[in-house]
Amino acid sequence: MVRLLSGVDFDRYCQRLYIVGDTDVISLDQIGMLESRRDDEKEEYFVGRVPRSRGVGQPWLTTPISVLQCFGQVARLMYQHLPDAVLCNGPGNCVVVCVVATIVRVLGVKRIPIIYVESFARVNTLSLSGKIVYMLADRFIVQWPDILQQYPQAEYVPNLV
Amino acid sequence: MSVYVTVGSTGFDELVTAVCTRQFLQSLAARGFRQLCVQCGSSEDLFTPPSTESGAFGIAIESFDYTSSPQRFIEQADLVICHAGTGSILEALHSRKPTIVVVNHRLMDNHQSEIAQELSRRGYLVSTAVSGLADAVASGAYSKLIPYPNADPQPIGEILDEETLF
Repeated sequence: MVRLLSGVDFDRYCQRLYIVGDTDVISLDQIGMLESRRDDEKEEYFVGRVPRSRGVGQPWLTTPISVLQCFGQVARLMYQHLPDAVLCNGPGNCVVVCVVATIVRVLGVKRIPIIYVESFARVNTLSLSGKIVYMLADRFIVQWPDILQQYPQAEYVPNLV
Repeated sequence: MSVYVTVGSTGFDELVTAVCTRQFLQSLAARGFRQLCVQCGSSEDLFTPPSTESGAFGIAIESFDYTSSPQRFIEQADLVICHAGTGSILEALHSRKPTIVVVNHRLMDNHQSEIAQELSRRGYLVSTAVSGLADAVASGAYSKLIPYPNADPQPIGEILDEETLF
């Protein structure tokens, strides 16, 4: 995600909300490094740590509970910040973010465009997150061309990372 | 010349075991390598290289479990051997170092092998199973790879701008 953000004009998007899984320390470090390079009073950033919607190897039976916990916190963050767009890349939590953004739009509160970038690791097939978000995203980006055969509304953009 | 082996943020028992074998060390020595540095992760207990210099074919060997600056070790290496995690692969490719990716066939739902095979098909890296690692080194195929293109994330900014102009 941090690699992708280097293509985004931070002067234009001067308020940034990062939603990070609560076990993901690496992303926290990367965000800290990225933001420490910005030194502008007009800019702000927030980090919201949310429980993972589904941990690695977590039984499917308990998944609905963790999804609901994640959903509650994501909904609160999104309602507080009402972003102008959502940019997401793969992990399960982004499904929850995209669902919340869609609900905000359906309720007529605000149109929050969803831009989804499928993982670089996906050469032939979409991830489970990707398959779900494909139905919700305004722009669906894949990094390998073969996926387009099955998902024609995706856009192929090479060499992003 | 030096080799850096990395298993990433978890462990990779078979790879750590394989880089201690006579067959692997002999292939390295035959290709002119004199230094081997191994990031073992949680597999560090399995790292048992030959204790004598002659047993290691004159290769100086060091190891550690994790590092917060993998980039530093990659920069110092002439060849990178890494597991098939996306992060490690991209780090190696962007450093423009010859890269051999070792796919862990024990991982279920193996998308790692997809990405390694695709990049290998395009000539950016050499992809192998653990069993083929020594041969992959011996063949020298890693020295004939194509440099990976620089990343260009600019289109993401453009797409974001297009969507927020409504």
